[in-house]
Amino acid sequence: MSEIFTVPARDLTKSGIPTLADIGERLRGGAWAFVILGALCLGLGLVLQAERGWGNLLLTAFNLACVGLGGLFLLAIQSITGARWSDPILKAHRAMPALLPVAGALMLLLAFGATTLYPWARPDAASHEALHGRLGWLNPPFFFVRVALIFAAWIWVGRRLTHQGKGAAPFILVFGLTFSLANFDWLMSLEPVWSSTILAIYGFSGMFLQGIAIVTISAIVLRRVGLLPAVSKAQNHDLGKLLFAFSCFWAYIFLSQFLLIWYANLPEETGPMRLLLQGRWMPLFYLNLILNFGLPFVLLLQRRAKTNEAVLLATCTLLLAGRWLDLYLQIMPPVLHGLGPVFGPAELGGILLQLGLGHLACWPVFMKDANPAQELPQAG
Amino acid sequence: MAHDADVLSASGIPAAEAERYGHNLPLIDGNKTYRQVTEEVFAPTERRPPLRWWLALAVTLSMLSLGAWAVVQTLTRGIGTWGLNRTVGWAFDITNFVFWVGIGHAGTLISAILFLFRQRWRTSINRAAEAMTLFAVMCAGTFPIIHMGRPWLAFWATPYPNSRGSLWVNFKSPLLWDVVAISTYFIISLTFWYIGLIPDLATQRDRAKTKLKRTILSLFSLGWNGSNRTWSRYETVYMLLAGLSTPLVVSVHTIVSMDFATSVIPGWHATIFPPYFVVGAVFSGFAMVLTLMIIARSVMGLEEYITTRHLEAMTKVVLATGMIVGMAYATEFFTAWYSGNPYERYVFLNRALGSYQWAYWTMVGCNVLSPQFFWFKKVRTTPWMIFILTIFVNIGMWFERFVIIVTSLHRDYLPSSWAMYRPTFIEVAILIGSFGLFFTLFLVFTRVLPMIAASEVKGVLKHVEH
Amino acid sequence: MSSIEHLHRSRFRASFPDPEQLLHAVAHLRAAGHRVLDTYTPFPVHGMDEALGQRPSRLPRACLAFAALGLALAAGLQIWTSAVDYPLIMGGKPLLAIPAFIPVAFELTVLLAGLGVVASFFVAARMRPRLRIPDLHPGANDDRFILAAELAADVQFPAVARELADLGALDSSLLVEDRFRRDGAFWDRPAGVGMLLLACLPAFLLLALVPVLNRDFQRRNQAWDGGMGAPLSAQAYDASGVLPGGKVLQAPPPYTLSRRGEPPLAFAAGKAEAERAGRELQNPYQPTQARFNRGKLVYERVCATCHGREGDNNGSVIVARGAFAPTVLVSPAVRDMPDGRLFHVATFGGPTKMKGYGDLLSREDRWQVVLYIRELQKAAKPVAAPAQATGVQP
Repeated sequence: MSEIFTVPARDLTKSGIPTLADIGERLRGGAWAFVILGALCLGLGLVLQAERGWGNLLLTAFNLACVGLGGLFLLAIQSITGARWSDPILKAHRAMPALLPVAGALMLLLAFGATTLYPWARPDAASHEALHGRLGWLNPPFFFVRVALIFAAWIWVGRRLTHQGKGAAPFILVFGLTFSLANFDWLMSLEPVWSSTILAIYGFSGMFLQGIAIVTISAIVLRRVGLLPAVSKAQNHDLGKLLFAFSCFWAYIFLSQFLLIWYANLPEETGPMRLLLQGRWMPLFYLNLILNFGLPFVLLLQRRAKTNEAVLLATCTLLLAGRWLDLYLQIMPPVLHGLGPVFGPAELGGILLQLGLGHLACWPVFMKDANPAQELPQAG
Repeated sequence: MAHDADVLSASGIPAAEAERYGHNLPLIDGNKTYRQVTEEVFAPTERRPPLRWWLALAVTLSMLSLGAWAVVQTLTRGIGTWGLNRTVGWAFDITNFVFWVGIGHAGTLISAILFLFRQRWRTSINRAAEAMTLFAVMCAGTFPIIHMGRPWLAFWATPYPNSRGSLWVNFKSPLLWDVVAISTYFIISLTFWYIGLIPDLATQRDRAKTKLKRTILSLFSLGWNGSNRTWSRYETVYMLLAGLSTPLVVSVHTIVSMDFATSVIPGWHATIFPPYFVVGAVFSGFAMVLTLMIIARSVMGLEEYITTRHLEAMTKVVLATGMIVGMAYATEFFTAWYSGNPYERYVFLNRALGSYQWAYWTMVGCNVLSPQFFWFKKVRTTPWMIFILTIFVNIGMWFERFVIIVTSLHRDYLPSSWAMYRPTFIEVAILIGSFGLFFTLFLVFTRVLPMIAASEVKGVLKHVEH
Repeated sequence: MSSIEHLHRSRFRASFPDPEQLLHAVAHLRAAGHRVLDTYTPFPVHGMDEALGQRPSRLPRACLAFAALGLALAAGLQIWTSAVDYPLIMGGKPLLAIPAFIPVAFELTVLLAGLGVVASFFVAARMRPRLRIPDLHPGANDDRFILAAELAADVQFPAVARELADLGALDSSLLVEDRFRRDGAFWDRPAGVGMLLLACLPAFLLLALVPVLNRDFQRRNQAWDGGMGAPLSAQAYDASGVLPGGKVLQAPPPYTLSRRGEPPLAFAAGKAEAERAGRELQNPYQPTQARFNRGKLVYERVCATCHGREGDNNGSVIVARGAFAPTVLVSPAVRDMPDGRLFHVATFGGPTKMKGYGDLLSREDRWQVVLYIRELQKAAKPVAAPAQATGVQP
């Protein structure tokens, strides 16, 4: 039932064309190179400027966790709504949660940098007026116990969902509570005075958008190399519509937060915003909006565009870059204590680590997934 | 399930097609022909209303006249007839406004968003749900007008050139955004509803027995003859309107939430308000649709069109949105503590333990506990149980708005201004009157226009539910 | 094929009980060379557009155009009214508050896009309120799926009718020409010179109205503000329809201090006037016990808070804590002041901070206070160097 594509899927059984094993080997080599190079750059960044190094490690760990959660959440939603359209690409969804243990390990590594990153972890935290009464919750031992418990919950509930296809509703319940807590604990506590009730939803919108972008890229690329032959134009169209819709959703949540903080102009809330609107941060602030909403909106508005693979790939790349920038703008301003943004070894290291670890963790799971288009049993 | 097998065999769906899907049940029960659909859907509009309709109308008209009397008292004697004071300047008026706007959102969601998601089961309920939206927005719109000190000057809220400078409206104010948003929402909903009605008006016109009816319906059906040229453009317009209405409905309740969230008082200024209000609106709206549909389907004999499967799908939406609303309550409470802000912490403790705690716990009980019963399939498919639970949900959602508005106002930053609020009889009467208006309009609608979108139902008659 | 032959082809219709049969029939007829004009169905049949060879609609483009128009209008309206025409700073927000303009801009974009696309749809589909419905086939809006087609050349209808019956048609019939007349016939009629004159008529009427429209634009419109823009002030001795007594001039409220028919004082405030009052005014009241008691009562209620009960500034005003220093009434300077000057100060106020009590105390009371002050001065011990009034001399 596939329509004719301009780039047909390759039939890998013909001789002369590399086998799946060859592709896997080459990619794995490249991925290891990325990981080693990334770790070295990040290490260099840590040595040069500790805050930047730890901040980028937090960014890397959090984003990898979000990729894993994105796959799980998509699986859960497909199961609950009984949707059928994504059956050919479920394999991609099921491969993404393999990143959760990796991300958990990286988050736990942050224990060594907690004093640099978080104001409440420093010895002088008790003198900070804003932290009174919260130090029982925000102290490094309890914090990292929570990190471990949250990742354990995600991995455990997620395993049931990926292997047996059951437990979508419990996953969503657990996800709602733990992801909110994760955003508040790991990101909002970087700036102890600032708080925003919508932060968890904002994080969710970025996570979900990124998840769909990764799935779209996987669907297109893997179809072209013949690993997901059942993908058709209908999947691309539906993915394009989801990308468009959730890009708009991201912009809506962004505007909710920004407009309300701008309007009320309360000093305890405007700190991060004011910083982002001055100096060298300002172009990045607007670039964030353009990458995550402006360009995807314009590119994906027409129906034709949503089935055009080139447009979809370009948009998804923009969205992935935008996701990184979004997290950068959330994490780095308080960590850098008001200094300007710089792109250096720490940032490069983080990006390389994400790409490399992403492939290394997900590819084996994807290849071992025996059922090409397993339908999920319907939720009750 | 035995019932499902009977329905399946009666519907004549080939077993092979049914096997392919997890569900194997048709959308409309009874194995109907197109002619049957026409006859059954248009029957209420062609017969005289039965006695119980007139009795129901008598009840709703009484409620409406009570409310009308109370509004006249308010307009002639002033806002002093209400229980508002300097500290609590908004109470029943804005609670009712937000409540009715929220209820309206379910109609647009069923019409527009479920259409975009290709959920065919919406065709049985979308006409009535959209009508409900229009009536709810009408009820909502009365409150901003009567709560003004000089309602006869309400037109000052529109930007027209005048001899006062020209003094323009304050486009930076959320209250003005409300004026634009509610007007736009009403106009677009009315347009969308009307476009959907045109084919059915044509059917009614073709069946009209009296010259008067035929004339009126001819004028309103705009010469519709079912031509494919027109149908294909019609489908394009319908899809475009659905695509426009979806962000519109989200934006309208976002703007309503910004009436509160752009302020600085603790308990009101929370960035989560826009999506929280939208989800709450969908929650209360679907509950009201369920309440109305359960009554309408049994009274008008439309159980084969609005089946228990339709009701079940709607209860799932109620359950999901109820969980999100509960999650939002938890987030607000947790963040209030987490932020360390003493004012935020006080507001939330005061909500749970202060003078209005009875309202707060009613809200939590109704909104968080009632939907939990919908985890059980037995509850989801039993109409009388759904009916009771959805009434609780609506009570809870009314109280949510009341709690947000009154508790944050009556205890804000300045203790010397703290005051209590008690509603007067006039305010309660206006609330009763708004329900009277809503139900009166709905009763009239069910006898004048087809309550089910007959052309859309015919289009999905032979489909199997996915 | 010439257009005249085209017009003489017969048209026919066929009616089917379900949409799949209609689709097959349309495909069959097109393959056989007949021209299928249109189909009439109770709901849209998927695949019929392709089967009839219909192009996709351009309405989405119209929607986008109207949306852009709505956005432009909204942005223009808000920016012009808030930042150009009558700029007012509200809530400390900048005049061009772009984040605050987004909600209204979004709403008006959606409003114009929706209304515009619906209007375009009505125009494109030629839908308008009409009493005679063109091309209305029985059952098209109920349960029949109808096609209307033109016979191909050299084909007779009965053969086609048999084929259609095999495909499931419930009935098929030739259409009489005038029942299929397109509705635009009225507007296609040729029109003569009379129509040209009629067409120019509205323009001439408008031109004729120009003198009437060319009013004085400086003149103010009537504003529905209840006349608050141009209030009528009432004159003191006019009659009044709304005030009690029917007069604008009202009796003073209860407890207003009466002048008891005495003319106003011929003095103004100020030091020169105070000295003049000292020269020209005499205390008209004799120092009796009753007057002494009254003076004491008034003094202790009104003056003692600042000047002290003994007139020596030992009142509530504590100079040592930094408050202003009232004049010490028992000082030599005040002893030397004549009664009239003390009366003037009590009436019009002191040189620095003291306000006048002319409208709070009657004249009699003020003279009696002066009497009491004299008694205080007699009773006081001479004070050496008390805190003087530190105000600026007038």
